[in-house]
Amino acid sequence: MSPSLLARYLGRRLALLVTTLWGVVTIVFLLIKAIPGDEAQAAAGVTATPAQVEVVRQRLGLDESIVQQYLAYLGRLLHGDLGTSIFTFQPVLGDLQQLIPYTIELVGLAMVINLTCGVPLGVWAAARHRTRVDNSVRLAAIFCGALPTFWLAMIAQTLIGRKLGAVPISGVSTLGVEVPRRTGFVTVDSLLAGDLTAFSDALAHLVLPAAVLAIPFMSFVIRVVRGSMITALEADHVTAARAKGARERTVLLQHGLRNAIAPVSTLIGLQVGWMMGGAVMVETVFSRPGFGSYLTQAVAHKDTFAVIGMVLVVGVIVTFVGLAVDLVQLAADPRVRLLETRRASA
Amino acid sequence: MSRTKGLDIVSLNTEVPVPAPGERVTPRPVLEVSDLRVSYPTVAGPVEIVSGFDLTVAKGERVALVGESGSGKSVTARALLRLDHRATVSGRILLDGTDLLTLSGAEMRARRGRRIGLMLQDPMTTLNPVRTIGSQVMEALRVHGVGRAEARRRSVETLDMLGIPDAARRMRSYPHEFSGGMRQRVCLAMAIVAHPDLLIADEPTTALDVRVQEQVLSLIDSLVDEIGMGVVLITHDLGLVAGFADRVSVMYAGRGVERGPVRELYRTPRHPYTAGLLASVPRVDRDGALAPIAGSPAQPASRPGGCAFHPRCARAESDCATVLPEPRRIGAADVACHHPLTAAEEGPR
Amino acid sequence: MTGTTTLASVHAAPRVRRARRRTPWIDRIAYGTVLVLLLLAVVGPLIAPHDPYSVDLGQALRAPSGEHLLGTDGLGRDVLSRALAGTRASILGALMAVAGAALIGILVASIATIGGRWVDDIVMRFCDITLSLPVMVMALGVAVALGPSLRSAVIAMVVAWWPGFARIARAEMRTVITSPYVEAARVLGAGRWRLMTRHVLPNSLDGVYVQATLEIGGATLIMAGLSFVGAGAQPPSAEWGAMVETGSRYLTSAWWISVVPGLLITLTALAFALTGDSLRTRNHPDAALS
Ligand SMILES: Nc1ncnc2c1ncn2[C@@H]1O[C@H](COP(=O)(O)OP(=O)(O)OP(=O)(O)O)[C@@H](O)[C@H]1O
Ligand SMILES: [Mg+2]
Repeated sequence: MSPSLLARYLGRRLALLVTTLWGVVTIVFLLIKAIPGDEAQAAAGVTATPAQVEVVRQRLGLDESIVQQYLAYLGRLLHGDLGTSIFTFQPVLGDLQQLIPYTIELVGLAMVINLTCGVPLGVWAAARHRTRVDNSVRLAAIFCGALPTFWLAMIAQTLIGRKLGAVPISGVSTLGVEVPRRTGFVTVDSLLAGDLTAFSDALAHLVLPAAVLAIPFMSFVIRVVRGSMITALEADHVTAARAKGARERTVLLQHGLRNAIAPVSTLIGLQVGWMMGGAVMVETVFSRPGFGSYLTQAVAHKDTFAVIGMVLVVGVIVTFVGLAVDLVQLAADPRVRLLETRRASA
Repeated sequence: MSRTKGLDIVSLNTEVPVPAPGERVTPRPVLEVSDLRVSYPTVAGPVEIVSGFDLTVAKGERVALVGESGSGKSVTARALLRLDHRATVSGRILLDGTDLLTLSGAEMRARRGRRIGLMLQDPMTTLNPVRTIGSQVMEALRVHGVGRAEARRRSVETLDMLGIPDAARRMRSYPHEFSGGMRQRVCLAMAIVAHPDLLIADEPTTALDVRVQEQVLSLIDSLVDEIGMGVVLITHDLGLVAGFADRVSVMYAGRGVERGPVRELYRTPRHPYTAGLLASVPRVDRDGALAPIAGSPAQPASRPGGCAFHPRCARAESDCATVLPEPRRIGAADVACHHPLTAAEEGPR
Repeated sequence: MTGTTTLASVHAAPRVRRARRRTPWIDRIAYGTVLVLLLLAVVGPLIAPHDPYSVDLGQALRAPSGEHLLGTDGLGRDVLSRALAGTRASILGALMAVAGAALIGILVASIATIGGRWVDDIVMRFCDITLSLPVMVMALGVAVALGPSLRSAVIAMVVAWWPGFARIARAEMRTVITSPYVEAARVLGAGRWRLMTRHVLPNSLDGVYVQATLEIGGATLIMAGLSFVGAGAQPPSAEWGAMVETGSRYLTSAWWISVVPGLLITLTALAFALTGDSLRTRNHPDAALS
């Protein structure tokens, strides 16, 4: 792809990004409006007097027309104002900035586990298509997908954490080994502080929740890798590679997996968002601070602004991940490049 | 063709072919295939697709393997390199005297590409769409331990020789940026870049227009002269064969029915199937209407007993339906037929 | 019936008949389990040996025994009876969520299919955006809006899941509407509405059915998850996710309270996933499992 076409593609893709974000915001706005009950009352809190509620109503512009409210909502968002939590009395955005690194750490490690186990298993099953190995891996994948995350989390916490004492059962770090907060990521901060004890402590807190979170997602990865590899391996270029004398390993990776990058990366992109959903349950069970446990608390306290704000934040994250996935595919698959070149020059 | 009789065939094979007048003297064989049997598992049990097939290719020799669609030509080609792990292959495949069927996986792999090059049937799908042309041609050398720089140099050289303009730059292109004819050349390059002793080209020209067809064939032709490799050209186009091959082997329903020097076979086909095939090809030296063979080709799964061709054969007698004809030497050809045409009879009509 | 119907049967989309393969034993077990679970969803509460809601603190935290086959929970309620009663809430809840999502999905897909390019573009863009949001988070948003209950969990899942069905249905409708036999009906003057109801809809729902079967398992998981985090069925109702949550406090001392409903959730999800997978393999042998 030539630089000018690439620029045009990026321009188009950014325009799409803006539209998507606008779509997410609008969906969220409609969600708020669809909520029965008085928003002003909710924002002012249950103990507020009618007069106080009126003040809040005017401050939030809830007495205006819906279009004006929509525009005002967009305006507030542009200033990073996601509202104030009625539970923590803090701006939702601030709370999230505080908490989201924990979740990103969890989802990040879960994704690593997910891919390092799921991709090889999928490749293995595809390489042994229609054999006992293939069948077992397929069934194992379906089984992984059928495990309820929250239940698995509880069982793993009890058996591996409590009974075996192999890993800590809750939180993000042991009391007393905390390191000064810089990035918010415990692992990164402990490395920045040069504190290896703190680092391994943080990892120990992370590994079990991440593994539990990864398991149901592995199910999809295995199945998609297996499926697209089987398709890829049926192609003639695979036979051609074997006819050249290539090793089976080379054939699998260079002519199978290499060709399966597009569907697999699409799935991975979607999974980032879904994993944030799974984190809701895992963080609750393991009492980890983060996006998920904040969300459950918000639900428990009917903290509308917090919940809405978080739906929005996930939407934004997912949208940017989608962009990243598209760029990966653009780099990895000339067919995608061709398609985009055609579109850009059309 | 029974197992015990297989021995005769082998001895028949190793016999040095009698050079017909004007025929070039063929040196010792690179490839000797005898009693090749290939079966595939299907839902209805294993089906023997290739059922006792013989083939000999000498160094520098061009052998054409012809047969109707579905006769098992591609299956044979893949079986010769033991490419399909689902297939059960038996018989003997001697490459320079070594039986490929006795080799380990690694030994076999060392010979693929390096000793036998295979050019697959469809140039549109033989190239991996997500990898560059260069990496795919180079792969044929890299997997045999050739260094990156050396592999690149030889790949460019080969592509250049095959008439790809600006080969060094085109190495970075992707298959979709190439036309059909160009892809065909790339496929050929992949098959020959490691200078194999034997090239098996599976219908290298079907997808191409006549002009490119001729170009590709003459490329292969010049390679035979340049690097002295043997060639098996698989095709169902007898017209193509006449100008290219030294010898022809005719396949019907997974069995060889006739093989011999090309001129001999064209002038006096012995097997009624060969005669029928020739009659259905337009020829400059003969007028008259084209006569396609009546009936439809036998399917390997439901191959008729005896001579598989007998339901479509005008010369069939009662023994054709029951006794499988063994190949016999008639003149310079080996013919598997109970009632072959004699030289006096006018063959193709 | 009418002439159009006859036409449809004459030009019916050729269904490829495949060589009949024996159903693998594992698939048969899955089919059987699904039937048993569906049956339990109907009769489960009736055959419960005890009242699933009767509290008896004197009987609290009893281990499995002859009297209480699967033990009792922290309030002395019979775990087996609650598990049986929970079948209805959990499975029927999931069924309703999937049925609702599939219906809306089909409806939206039909609108996109007859509505022309603009409508199609906008609707599908909207589907994509909704799809990329995690169901769990979406559902929590809806659940908090409607107040936590089993009913809002079902509604939440419908809201979050219909776009998936809309995508599948639309893809199939696209294929059907451009096929020769629909073309033939169009040439004969069938209107849009008639085309849609008589030709496109009946021939494009196979994929939706298979997907729905597959999703019932997933829906059971998410429903239970919502109850677990407190956005679905509320205590004391007998629902598997809520039961797991109540038992979480006793996991080291009275494991059966959480383990029994957890296993049931797994079993349900597994049985429906295997059934859906088996149906899909029958529809398209060798289809990429995605
Ligand atoms: N993997 C396989 N499993 C079962 N049967 C097969 C397999 N591959 C090929 N066959 C069968 O073997 C027969 C011969 O196929 P083959 O591809 O060798 O024909 P061909 O002579 O190359 O024909 P064409 O001229 O069309 O290329 C066909 O009937 C085909 O159905
Ligand atoms: Mg072929």
